[in-house]
Amino acid sequence: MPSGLLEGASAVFSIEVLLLVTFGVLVGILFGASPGLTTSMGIALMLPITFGLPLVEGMALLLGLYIGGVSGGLITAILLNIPGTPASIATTFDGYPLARSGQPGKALGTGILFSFIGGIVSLIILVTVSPYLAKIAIKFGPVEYFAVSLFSLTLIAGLSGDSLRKGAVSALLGVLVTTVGAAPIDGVLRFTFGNHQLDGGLQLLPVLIGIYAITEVLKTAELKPDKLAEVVVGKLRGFGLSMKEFGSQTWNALRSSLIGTAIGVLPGLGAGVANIIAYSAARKQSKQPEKFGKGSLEGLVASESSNNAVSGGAMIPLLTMGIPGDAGTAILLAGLMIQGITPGPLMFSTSADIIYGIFIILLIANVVMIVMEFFGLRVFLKLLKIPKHILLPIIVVICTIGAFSTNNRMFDVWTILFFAAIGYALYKFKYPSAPFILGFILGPLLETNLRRGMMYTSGDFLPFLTRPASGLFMLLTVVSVAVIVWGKYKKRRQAPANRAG
Amino acid sequence: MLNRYGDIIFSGALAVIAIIYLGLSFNIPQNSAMPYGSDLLPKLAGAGLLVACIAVLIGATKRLVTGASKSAPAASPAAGVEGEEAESAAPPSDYRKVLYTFMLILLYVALWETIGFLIMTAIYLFFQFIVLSDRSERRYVVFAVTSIITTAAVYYVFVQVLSLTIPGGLLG
Repeated sequence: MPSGLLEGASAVFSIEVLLLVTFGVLVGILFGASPGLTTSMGIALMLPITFGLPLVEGMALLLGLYIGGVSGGLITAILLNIPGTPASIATTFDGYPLARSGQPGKALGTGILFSFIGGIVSLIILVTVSPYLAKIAIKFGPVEYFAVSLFSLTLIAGLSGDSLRKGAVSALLGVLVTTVGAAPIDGVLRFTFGNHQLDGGLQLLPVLIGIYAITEVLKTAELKPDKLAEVVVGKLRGFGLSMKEFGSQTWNALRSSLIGTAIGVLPGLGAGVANIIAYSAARKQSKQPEKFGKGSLEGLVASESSNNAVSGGAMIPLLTMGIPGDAGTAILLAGLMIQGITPGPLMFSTSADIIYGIFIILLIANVVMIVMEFFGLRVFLKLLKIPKHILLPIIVVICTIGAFSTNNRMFDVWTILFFAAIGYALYKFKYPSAPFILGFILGPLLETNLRRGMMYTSGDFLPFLTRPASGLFMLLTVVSVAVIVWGKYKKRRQAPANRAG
Repeated sequence: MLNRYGDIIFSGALAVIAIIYLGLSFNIPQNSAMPYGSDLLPKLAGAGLLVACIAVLIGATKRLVTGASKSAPAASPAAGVEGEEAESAAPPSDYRKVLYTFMLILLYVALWETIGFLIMTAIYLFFQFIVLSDRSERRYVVFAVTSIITTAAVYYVFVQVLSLTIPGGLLG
């Protein structure tokens, strides 16, 4: 393992890579901070750019974006009460009041500092845990992979929106779309209607760009997001925290980071959920719960450390098994695949240098993030003022070039438009889009592993349930569906009671 | 209101698609050497989709019948990956802009090969700036200049620096 570390490190510490990480973090923070621009959009946007880049440079860009994106939301959350991403919703609860009470510097400093801590804690967990998980995952066969993929997809379908049924529809739609083209294993052409452009199936990149970038543009056309008002920050001295205050928050930060990491590992849940759960947990365990909502440091710390901690956790299933846990990691997966890498347990033994390269890049990205946010705050505030009606069309142009360059054919560009329409429809009728993308990505995995598994068991489905690992995940799938359904049922029973009187 | 019938219409349409898909999946040739062929997953997924669509339909119909006002729970934590803002005090939806935007992008892409990528990019940008902005924000000169500069920048970065190809019909 140490040999991989050296190779990984030497690949990473070059000027190009460091510049690209910095650029990625910068763009990520911008996208994270701007309401109306999403991190997924940013990463999807950059994907075509990584075509022309070598592996490490491409990863540097994407991972920088990923880390920057999760954190950027705190800027607008604290200063303007507008969470740039759902990851910073809970940050507005206490960050904004704290800023308004005349301590914007302290609020920002605390948010930035604990974002960094959250990211580092989850990175440590990632680095220590994933090699062991990879050892277990290596023993996974198609049967197990099928079960894990099914579990992931089910969880995402159930947790991404308000309705399990709509999530299921969205996920299955995504799976359906992947069946277009040549089937895995035997190459039978399905649903192509003689159109040879479809033989290779629909490409992930145009679908991603369509759903995550162009749909956002359509959404903005429909509903202009709020204009960002003028904000005065004042001097930021240190992080605005005293050592004593910092010390008092360590347990909170640790607990919140662990919550964030755990939620990151689970497919279907992301930073958007983590910050709220961590906030609630902090309030329950706080000695001064009445301060929450009025500018309590605890609430702010909980929110920002947990949302950044999700990043490390989400990388765990991605790297050890090649299964993305949310849209962000799904796009990262696409980025890796573009570079010809299929993440999975084998990576840890055959391409350990790439794994270590990724770890180191994540570390650098976190550092760049904290440095940039601390020193570059005023720059960001200026950049955030660029009007959306200028920015978004430019993004469209970049996206269309990107889609075209996937295979140098117009078909992929039409694909973007088609999926932009689908994405918009999903949004308009309140269907979550994350299950769709995950269905699209996991669909081939599900099918290939199901069929290979069946061949392995000679057509018998029972082993899928009786083999220990797959049986466990199948059980978890059923249990989680039951829990989700029960939870919704409880909520619905409470609602009429709330309305009465 | 879109909400009341929208769910029914949309899930109904999806259910129809699911049925068609399922029907088509019976035409998929099977390789008799294997226990299950390439028709397995399409059938499963199609059936699953149909069931899920019907479930949504039932739910939507029930809601319609009981006349319960569908107050969307504000920013529920499980909204996870998407950024959904509370829709209670939302500005009015401008669907014309959505349509114009979509058509603009469509035209932009459709005319790449005929008129030329660079020219179309500049034209597209200019008009898209207009469509997306409010009346008060329109500065035609700024838009025109930005279109041209952006087009040039895009060409430079994507073609010269990153060596990506752009569709044919370049200007010159």
